[in-house]
Amino acid sequence: MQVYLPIAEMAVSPWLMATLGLVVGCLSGIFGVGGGFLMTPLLMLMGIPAPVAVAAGANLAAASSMSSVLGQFERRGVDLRMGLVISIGGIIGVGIGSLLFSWLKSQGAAEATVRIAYTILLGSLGTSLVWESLRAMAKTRAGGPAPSFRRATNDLAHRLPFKVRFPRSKLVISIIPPLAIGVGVGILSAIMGVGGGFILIPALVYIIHMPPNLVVGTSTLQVLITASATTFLQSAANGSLDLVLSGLLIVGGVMGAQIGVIIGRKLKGEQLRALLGALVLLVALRLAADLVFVPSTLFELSSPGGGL
Amino acid sequence: MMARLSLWMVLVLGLILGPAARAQSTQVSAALIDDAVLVTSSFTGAKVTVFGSVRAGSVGRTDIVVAVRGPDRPAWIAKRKRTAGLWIGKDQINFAAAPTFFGVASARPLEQIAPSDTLSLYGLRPKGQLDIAKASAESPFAEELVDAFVAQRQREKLYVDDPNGVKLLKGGLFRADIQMPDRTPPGLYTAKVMVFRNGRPAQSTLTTLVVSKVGAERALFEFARDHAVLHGLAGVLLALLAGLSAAGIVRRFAPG
Repeated sequence: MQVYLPIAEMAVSPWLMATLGLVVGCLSGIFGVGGGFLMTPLLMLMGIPAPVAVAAGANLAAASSMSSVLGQFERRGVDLRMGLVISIGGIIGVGIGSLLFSWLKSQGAAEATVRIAYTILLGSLGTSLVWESLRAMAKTRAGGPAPSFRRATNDLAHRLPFKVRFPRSKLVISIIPPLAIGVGVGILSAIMGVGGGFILIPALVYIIHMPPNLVVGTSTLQVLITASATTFLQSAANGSLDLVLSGLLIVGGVMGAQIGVIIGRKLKGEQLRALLGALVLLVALRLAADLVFVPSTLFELSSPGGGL
Repeated sequence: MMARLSLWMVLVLGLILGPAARAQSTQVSAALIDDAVLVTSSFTGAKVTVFGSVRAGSVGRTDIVVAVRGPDRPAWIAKRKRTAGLWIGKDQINFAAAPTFFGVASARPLEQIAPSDTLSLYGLRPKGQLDIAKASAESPFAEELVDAFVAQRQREKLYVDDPNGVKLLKGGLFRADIQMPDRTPPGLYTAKVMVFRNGRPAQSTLTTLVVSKVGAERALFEFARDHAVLHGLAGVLLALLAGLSAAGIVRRFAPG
């Protein structure tokens, strides 16, 4: 059976799309990431035009994060204030990023430089995440005391001005680091076309020193806000949102997110970080492979409809 | 209804005019079985069928070539290239206009019917139908990318060349079938029937068909085009409601 997509102007298998949504939604539930880094290339591989793939990925991320954030709220796993501050930074970042993107394009090779820098950043981030969490796991297994979460009180976040109280995280820190993290993630998502949830989570852990039980929920809230904004902008500015495609992905995605939350609840903080590290390494490897190997699709082509 | 009627007229006219036209030059008339292709939610492509009759002299060989061409749209193709050992660059050319669909059917390979320059001149080769944008035309890689563009669209079955697509029936009647894939965009299509006598074009006739979205497909497409802001809000709302209801269902059946 095939279903015709009115905006992408092609037919797809609904079962395949729902399954894709289920898998990516599951990741979203476990880690609090959007999963656009998987979804967009997979959809493009099936011949769906790039702008349609980006909009559908964002719409799916909005749905799966909505599905999982409710449970997170109930279990008091979301720092609403922190999530909002980061999201405000994120929206500013997307604005800066879009300007930066058009400037980089006019400069030619600069975009490639960003691509290489990003690959190296993700590679080292993933490696250190895996390394750190494996060490923590080994320590616990050796019978020693579980490594207590480091609550630094003398770092950057505490020394900068404009202190704000985040009661849920039990933190009184400067508003500058969370805002800056939001801006950074926003810039990355505008340039790289990915949501950046997998950057946000390590940043929440290592820079903000947020309690581990709040990290996934707060990241999910941020994904919900940015993914909804991206969905809306893609439709309003490019007309590239295909509601039939979104609907198929979302049916699987919201169910996957519920499964993901259950899996995530069974995992310990360091296990979660080890898996996330592996995921980040996977993304880095994919980006590196794009740079080094002869691409499978040497040619890129506009879609027959012409518009997208 | 109109299509069926004109089809009958073609066949009847063919029978009446047949003997009269024998003394004169080549005569051809043709009509489409269906002059409207409807794109519904189960659309996976369509077959365009042309029926017709041809009257030609008995000396030499008669060939029938049917070409169906979709609306022209702007297009581009880019080739990724290696710079300093890394795949970071791109060569791109733009087309001011390129046929979205280009299907040719004949009863034997085109190369056997007429010389290559004749085929291009009469618009039976997709390559000759591409209108390269001025800025791209002088690029050193234009030739390679134009060939790659045609090859890629052939792979997507948007540019088709079927040497078994025309069936010759008794009494100068013929039938041509051209398959259009699901990616065929809507718009006005033209179907051209050409008769070759001994490798030279002798006669041709044109008809048109419309490919259009109908029902829910049309409603959604027009909603997205005419109310982009509302469409975006609908997308966000769909996501939020789906998320809400999934969480609600799970809570009801699997509490805790």
